[in-house]
Amino acid sequence: MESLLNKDIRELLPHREPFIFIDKVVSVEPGCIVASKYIKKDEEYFKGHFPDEPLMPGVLIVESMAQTSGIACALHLNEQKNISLKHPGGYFLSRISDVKFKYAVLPGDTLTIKARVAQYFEPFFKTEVVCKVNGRIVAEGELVLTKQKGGAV
Amino acid sequence: MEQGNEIDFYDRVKKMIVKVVRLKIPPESIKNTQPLFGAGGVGLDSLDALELVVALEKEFGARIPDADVGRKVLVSVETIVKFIEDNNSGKSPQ
Repeated sequence: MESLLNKDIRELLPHREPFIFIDKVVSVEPGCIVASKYIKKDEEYFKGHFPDEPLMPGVLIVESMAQTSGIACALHLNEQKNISLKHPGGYFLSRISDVKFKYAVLPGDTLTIKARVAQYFEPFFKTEVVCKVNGRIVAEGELVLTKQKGGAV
Repeated sequence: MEQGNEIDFYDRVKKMIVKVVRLKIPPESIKNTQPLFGAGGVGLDSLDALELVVALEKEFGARIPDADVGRKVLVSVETIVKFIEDNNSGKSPQ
């Protein structure tokens, strides 16, 4: 298996700034990865969300869950079919289920996102995702990603 | 007895479909041979196939190994019941 740790996240995702919502992969288990994202105090979206009470928008937390899930999907295919982990560009977010936001994510927090592939039925991946700050669950839910036909994987 | 089990399977599969896909129709309104997908069908989309695959294995112990088998099995209630009968005893719902 190729190593995911310490890789430039742009090698693992097709996303580019300003729409990258994970910094790095911090741990790897079979079919499961943990990524992290440091929430800078000067993130552009804090200007409007909200001026007097900055907090990370829930939809962007979901995006970090989706990006982490994309890497978990690539890892799954790498483990099962020996497909390269590089440029797993062919995954689209297709379903968001039962996502709960339990606590606010604030400037200066480090968000960790754990995504596990719960089911793969080509071309669909169901992932279970848990987000934490300082060990406390701030958000969790299930996503479905669809592998693009003829995608980069 | 066998026929009784068969009727039970049809009933259970219809209930499973309505539950996992969150359809707002009574299970008994689904006809045994009605297409699940596409025009004139029950109205499922391709994403629902994933939920059905998970539920079939969980509730009936019937595992659909890949998309090719899935395309043949997830056609109608009748094809699903035949797959359950061919592949498993149809364990009780959990």
